[in-house]
Amino acid sequence: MAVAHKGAISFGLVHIPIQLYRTTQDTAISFNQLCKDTHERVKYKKYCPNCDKELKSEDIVKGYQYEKDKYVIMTNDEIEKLKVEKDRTIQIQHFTSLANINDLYYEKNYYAVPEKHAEKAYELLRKAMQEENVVAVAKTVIGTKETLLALCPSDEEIIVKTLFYEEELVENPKTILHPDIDKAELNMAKQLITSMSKPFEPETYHDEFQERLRNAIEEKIDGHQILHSSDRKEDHKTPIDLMEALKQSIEATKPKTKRKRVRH
Amino acid sequence: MHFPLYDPMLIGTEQPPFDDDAYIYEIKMDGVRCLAYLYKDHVELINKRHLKLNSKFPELKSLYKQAKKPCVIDGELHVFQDGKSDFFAIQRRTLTSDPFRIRQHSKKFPAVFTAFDILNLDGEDLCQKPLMERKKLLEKNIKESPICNISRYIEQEGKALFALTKQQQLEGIVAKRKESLYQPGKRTKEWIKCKHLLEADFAVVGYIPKEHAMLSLVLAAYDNQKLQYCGHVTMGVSKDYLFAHIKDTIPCPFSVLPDGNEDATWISPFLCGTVKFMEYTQSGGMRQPVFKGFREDKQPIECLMHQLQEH
Repeated sequence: MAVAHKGAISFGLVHIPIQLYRTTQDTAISFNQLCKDTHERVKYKKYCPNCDKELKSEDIVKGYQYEKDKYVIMTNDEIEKLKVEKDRTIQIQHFTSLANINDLYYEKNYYAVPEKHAEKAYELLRKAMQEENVVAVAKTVIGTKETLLALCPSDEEIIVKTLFYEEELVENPKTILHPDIDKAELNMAKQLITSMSKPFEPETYHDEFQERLRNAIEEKIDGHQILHSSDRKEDHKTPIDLMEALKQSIEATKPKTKRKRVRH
Repeated sequence: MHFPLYDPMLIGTEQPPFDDDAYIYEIKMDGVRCLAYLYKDHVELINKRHLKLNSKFPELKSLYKQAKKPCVIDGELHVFQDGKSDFFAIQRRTLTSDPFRIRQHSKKFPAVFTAFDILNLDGEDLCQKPLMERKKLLEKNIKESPICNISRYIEQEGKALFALTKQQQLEGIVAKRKESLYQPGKRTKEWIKCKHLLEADFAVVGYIPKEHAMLSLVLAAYDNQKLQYCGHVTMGVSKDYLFAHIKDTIPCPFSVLPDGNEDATWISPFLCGTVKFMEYTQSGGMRQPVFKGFREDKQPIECLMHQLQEH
């Protein structure tokens, strides 16, 4: 897995260089679009209907539509100037109890891994946060985006969670009513819950459509491969065959008498 | 029991082949260096940068069964096809993270582990034992199988083995001093490689699109903390990897724009790539360079100008 981000946790005078690795991967099958007749990959061309010509990247600018057919143009330089300074330091702002962060704020998770020689400072931070039962709220720049983070200790490592900004959250568009429930109904519902309770075993759940899709594709690939399996070279089928063959051919040419020791 | 985490001992120098009684000679398999921690009931495959490779090589899940006692073995993970190890195949395997493709490739390009050293046996650290003693322990403790074999070695006849590897179009040989101890994480001259092609690592600082979906990579190396331009190499297969790893585009990092780079897109030096070539030209360029692949186990800042000259 490739490093998603490199930076350093900064906490008072302590500086802990770390790497972030993703905790999940996209496993869904993705398809390419092909021409039906030639199976060539479909290409996109950027086209201006007004000039009737294909556009190159230097012919394209960014515009914000503020009214129908009316745009303000923002140049790359103008946008660049507004970007935050590329500070890859993960600045801890403060510590807080995990319960203080509403689940809705969590976006993505990363494993934080200490760089060489930072293991001890990292472990100290992890352990102290775990024993105090707190998470750290921090800021950094990932890519070009200023990002809010929560550093959460687990038994093994520090998990870095990116947080949404408050302005990115939308409120529930409808109001939920809370009608009165009587005790008997509530007890019945609780009983049902108890009877259906068991430990969560994530490995028992799969995206079954994806699985059928993979199997179908695999069958087609295997069908193709049978056609191509005959053009293999057959000598030295395994590394052992190769290594033994070379060893033996050297032993066969070795003179019987012991050679003089050669210095180089 | 839990084994300590080891850093592999590294080859310290490259030189022409030689014959010497004090050395053994092994075939250099063109793969990925890997330490295999064989526990009683599972294996951990860990590369030079301490990254776990288990999920990439499901076909090696049962490797631990080849050990009579729990142990840590050092070796090369490679894909052996058509009589030699195919570096591009193993590289593709290590760069694949989609489980479905991994499943496909584990059948089509299965990896094998060629073990050449043993560092720990049943909790006992063996690094302070001389090489030949470790070799004996390795042979005693590992049973060979289609997924696991033990590197063969010969004594004295380095030049002859080197010539044979050329005939077989293999990468070359490694000479190891018989008395040498295992020095974890050290680049030592106790291990010497003799190769048919030269190889050098570079920081990738830019790319230039070419015809037929090919790219030229712009290469550089560090000299006194400053990037120096080192030329181009053409690349085809790893384009997706390149684009997935570009952090940002930057202005040209060289004070003078080198000729032929007018169309280059410059990127932060974040990736490191290996180039194979016949020899250095008089001006310090490379003759017939071929892009071998990105290296996940090396940082661009480690690609130094003076290291290139040492080859």
